[in-house]
Amino acid sequence: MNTGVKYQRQNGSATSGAAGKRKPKARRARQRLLRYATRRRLWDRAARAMVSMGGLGIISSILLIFFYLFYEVLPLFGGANAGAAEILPQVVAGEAMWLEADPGAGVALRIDERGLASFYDLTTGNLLDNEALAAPAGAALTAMARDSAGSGLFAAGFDDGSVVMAGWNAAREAGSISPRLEYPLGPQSLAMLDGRAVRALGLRSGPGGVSIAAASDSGPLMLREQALDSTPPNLTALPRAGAEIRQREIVVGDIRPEQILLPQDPRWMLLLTATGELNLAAIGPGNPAEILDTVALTTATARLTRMRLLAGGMSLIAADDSGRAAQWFIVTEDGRASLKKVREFALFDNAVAALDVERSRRVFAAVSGNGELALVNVTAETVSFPGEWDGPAALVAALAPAGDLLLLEDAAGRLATWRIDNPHAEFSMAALWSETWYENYPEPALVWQATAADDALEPKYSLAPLTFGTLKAALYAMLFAAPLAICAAVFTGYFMPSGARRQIKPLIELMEALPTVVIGFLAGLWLAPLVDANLMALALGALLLPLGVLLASLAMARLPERLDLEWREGWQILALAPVLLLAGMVAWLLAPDVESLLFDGSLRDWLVQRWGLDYVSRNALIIGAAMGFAVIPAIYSIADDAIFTVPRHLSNGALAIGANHWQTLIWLILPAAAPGILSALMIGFGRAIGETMIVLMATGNTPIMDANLFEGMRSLAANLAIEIPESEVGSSHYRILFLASLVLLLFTFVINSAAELVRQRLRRKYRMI
Amino acid sequence: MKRSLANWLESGAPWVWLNAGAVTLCLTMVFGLLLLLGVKGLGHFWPRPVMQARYLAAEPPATIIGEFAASEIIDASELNSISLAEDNGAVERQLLKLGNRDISGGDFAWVLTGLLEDVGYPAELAVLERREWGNQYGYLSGLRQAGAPVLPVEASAGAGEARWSELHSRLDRARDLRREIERIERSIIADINFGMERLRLEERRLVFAGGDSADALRENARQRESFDAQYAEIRLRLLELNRQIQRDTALLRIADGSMVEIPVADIVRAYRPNAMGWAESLGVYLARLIEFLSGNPREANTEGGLLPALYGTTVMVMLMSVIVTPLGVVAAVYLSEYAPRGWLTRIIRVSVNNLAGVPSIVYGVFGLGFFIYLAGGEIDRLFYAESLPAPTFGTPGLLWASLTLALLTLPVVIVATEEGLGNVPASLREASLALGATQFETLWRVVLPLARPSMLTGLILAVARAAGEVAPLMLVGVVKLAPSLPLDTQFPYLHLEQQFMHLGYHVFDLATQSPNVEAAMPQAFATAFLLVALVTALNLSAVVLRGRLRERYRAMDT
Repeated sequence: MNTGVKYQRQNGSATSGAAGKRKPKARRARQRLLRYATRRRLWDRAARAMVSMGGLGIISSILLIFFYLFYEVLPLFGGANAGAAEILPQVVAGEAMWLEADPGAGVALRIDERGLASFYDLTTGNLLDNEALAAPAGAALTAMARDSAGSGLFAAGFDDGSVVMAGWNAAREAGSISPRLEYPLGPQSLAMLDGRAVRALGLRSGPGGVSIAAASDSGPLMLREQALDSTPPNLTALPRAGAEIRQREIVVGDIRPEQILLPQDPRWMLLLTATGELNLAAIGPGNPAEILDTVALTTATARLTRMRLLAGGMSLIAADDSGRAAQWFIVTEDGRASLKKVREFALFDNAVAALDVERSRRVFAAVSGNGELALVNVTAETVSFPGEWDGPAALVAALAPAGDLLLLEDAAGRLATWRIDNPHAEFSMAALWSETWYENYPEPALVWQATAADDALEPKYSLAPLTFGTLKAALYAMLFAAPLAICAAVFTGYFMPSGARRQIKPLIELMEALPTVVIGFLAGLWLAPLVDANLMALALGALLLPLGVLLASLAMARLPERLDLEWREGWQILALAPVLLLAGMVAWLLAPDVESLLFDGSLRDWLVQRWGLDYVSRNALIIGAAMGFAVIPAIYSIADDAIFTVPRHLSNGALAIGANHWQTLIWLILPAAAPGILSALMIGFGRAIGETMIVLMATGNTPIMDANLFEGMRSLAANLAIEIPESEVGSSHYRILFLASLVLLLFTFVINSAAELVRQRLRRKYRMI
Repeated sequence: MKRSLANWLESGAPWVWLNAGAVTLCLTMVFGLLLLLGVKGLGHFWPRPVMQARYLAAEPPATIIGEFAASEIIDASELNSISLAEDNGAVERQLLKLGNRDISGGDFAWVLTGLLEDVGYPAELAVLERREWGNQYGYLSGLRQAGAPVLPVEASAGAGEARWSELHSRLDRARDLRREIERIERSIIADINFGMERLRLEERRLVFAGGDSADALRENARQRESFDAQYAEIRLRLLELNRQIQRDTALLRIADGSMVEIPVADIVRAYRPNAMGWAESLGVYLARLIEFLSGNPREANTEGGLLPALYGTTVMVMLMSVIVTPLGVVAAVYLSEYAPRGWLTRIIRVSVNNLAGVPSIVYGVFGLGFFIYLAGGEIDRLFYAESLPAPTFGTPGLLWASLTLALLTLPVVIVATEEGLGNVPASLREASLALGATQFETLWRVVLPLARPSMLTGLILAVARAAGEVAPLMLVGVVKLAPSLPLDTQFPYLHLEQQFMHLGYHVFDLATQSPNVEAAMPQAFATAFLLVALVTALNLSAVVLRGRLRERYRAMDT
């Protein structure tokens, strides 16, 4: 552009200097002028193109926020996928006693009936090594059990009554894998049943040590508890045996267990009999054990085919030959423990042939007799059928610890692997919003507990308590803010002369500028203790403040006529300041007396005792006041505009036919401005929904569902601020938090758009009037 | 009477008054809050008298020395451990700042006012503000230089004054020495480190390049030697300075009568509040205020200054302004001047408008996911592959915080600029076009200059919002204590990938994350006041600017 300017000047001087001279110079000048015009046109066009492109680009990049959030949330709905089954070249004989796959190490382990452990390379399928399980001489393998804590340890029982506990380790040396068995309790077998063949075996490891339970066809059950060295030499190594050993007999009556499960809670033991009945035994210090509950795991017509403890060792999954799989766990009600069938999945129309569980999520994989594969997350109740096995009937399945691979052994002795992609099994819309029965809970509940202190606890993703907390905070804030803001808007918008209004309005709007972190700080650390100590004064103040104002008004009305100041001037707001202060003072002074007179000395205690209301210091009352303070300006500003812009000739007309100002306001101005006030309320509500810092700092952030004014809450926004920095990128938790922020975004966006629509319509209407 | 009451009700006067009451209440809340912050925030720096008393509840009764911090009336039944003469309802207790945290473990204690005896304010009581462990209260009873007493320990009248002036001169000496040490550490050593790092990289480059580089390597080694020599020299100098600064110690007799020896170098400030007139108090007040604004934080942010937070906020906001202004103006110019008039543009305009109402935490989530994990992760993979898996840009930092806040404030700038562009009187545009100017020339020469103040308004509002916003920053870049400033004298000067401190987050941190809440509260109030003053000033200036602008257009239009 600058060149153009320069050119113009030169051009101007040239033409004036060339006046009256020969023609060619004039033509040149004209040509120059033409070129200049063309250049200007080009500039104009270029500017238009650039600004348009830039503007559209910038605006679309703001809108990118929607798409990006969608993009992060979308994988949650992807479900499970499985690749094609890959058949390993090795053919095995007999049925595996033990099958395990670890894609991390790239190794599969199979132990056959003779106790021979074979390691396979998962990628090539080659046999890496054979190693016999350390068995007592001449003894035959009779039973095996996996560690219910998911450590990868297993126990093997022999027909001479001895037991050995083992695990395996795949050391990678110079590119080759050399897996081998390890024996944390030593390779010598543990004598447990004095020569009686081990028929059923249970194993549990934990921070306290390992417990092994063994039973035979007759005689008492034996439980052995041994401490483990809690600090293994390195991360991948298996724990080592500690010194302390306790072994005791447990008499369980005439129950002959086929299978023993040791859940994570050391008080219980689960015994499965040959008839498919499951017994819950309390194995306290006393001997014999008390059988607390006995249930049939299947219906009368079906036969139990597979049973496993789920990850975490608190609940079990039982599958039968009618294609059903049911989750059971121990529920304690009124101090009585019983076994409850919590949910059931009708997976196939034929028998469940093979079943295995993941090590940390509540996910199991089941293969039917016809070869259908099902992946189920029990908590979220997500079921997917990602593939089908079209070989001979599957016998044993092994799901990798992280659930990313399934190893299958079929009746023809072939081993096959399936790559599985099931990253967000823990997510389902149902689990997000409706009541879910979690382990250790006596009944279904709505719980948000995404980051459990202990891996053994299942994560609980219910957005309901957070949404409830958000709405609770917003509603209490609106209860505080809406009357104040609208009343103030009515006064400044209608009664106040516009000169004074121009001064007062920015002052109230100043509240909006106050950083919410400061409001949250004052609410949490200044207001909360203050309210704690002066709850009664506050309640009295809420009563006395309006009363004081009314009294002041009455007093003014009783003043002699000549002193009756014109009340449209808006000076009341100054006159009322001392009145309010006085009323507040009176409330504060009266509070102790009223409290001791009516509420036995303490309103707080009275609320707790009389009404059973819990009282916490950082409660919804504080949030209501603090967040109300923050949303007042938003509501006030728009409501005031709505009232102010109602055309004056309307109210003048009403006044002319004899209505007083108040009547004009009630019957004319407010109905006309109602849509605007509504949109103000909506915008205020939208702000309250999304406000983060105030809720974060002024509540205890406990995700509970309780509408009690004196309890806290956790809102969606505060939850995001707390949890998202710590959540693992790409995990279900991370994406669910993104979903929560998408919900927030859409909700506020929709509410704001609706409010804007209402306002625009109103504006058009007034323009017509 | 009855009739007039009915009249009064019918006239609507009570309801009007109630409405007026709502306005008054709103204004009272605003000003009350500002007043509260002002009093608590600014009052904190005023030196308070230090009390000495005998506390009877202790067993045996002990002398306590401390500053009054707060008092409250509580029900006697809430106290359980203290034996009271009579159990009659309310008792008053007060919170005292006893200091001496290194000796007693905590520096605040609640005491019952009724059980204080012989309350007095001896003029000789001294407050020593220390670099670590908070304040120490007691009587200055001696000074030592290299272990030997400087002045005779005697109780004559003039001795106290002499000791004080001696202490102050030694404090000045220690301060000068400390300044020198800091200067050396900050500039000279940093320069040497930077030079060494440059040499190392140069060497690596030479080795990678191969070929005949023996000369260059030799030159390199020579330079390295000179750096090493410089460093050895500086190290000696530092050792010497550190020895010198440790020379003096002060002896303080504290509440329980025992003597405490404090290195003079550890004392930030020493004064006798009970003996000071208002002029001296003002001096201490100003000194503390200046330290607050220009010093580094001490003791987990509960003492000292907040320069890094102020600095970090400023740098972040400036960076954000640089990003948001051109983007916002271009988008606004497009929307107001070039976009076709139609429903699509209207929808876009409403959407942009509404984005200003979207919760800020959502922007934070977006910034974390999109900028940090996606864009930052990609940048790391492409340009900083050598330092992976330690992320360079794939972690919260200044750049991402500025970008996120730019996105957050973009609607504010767009809306304000568009309003300004729309308010430029049509007559001016028409005149310009009628003179033959193109649309762009009209825009560039006529419309934009006129709309410049409204752009400024938008920018000020954006800056005010950004300065006060904390929720998104918690996700994309702030930390409670940054080891270095985001803009300094070390290449590349502006450290876009570094995390920084922020005033708003400072308030959050002090209020909710501090282990020593009582000690953190005054600092939190002062920080909150500073933040509010900053944001309020910005907003008021925007309001004034906007008002003036409106007048100007009105004048132009007629």
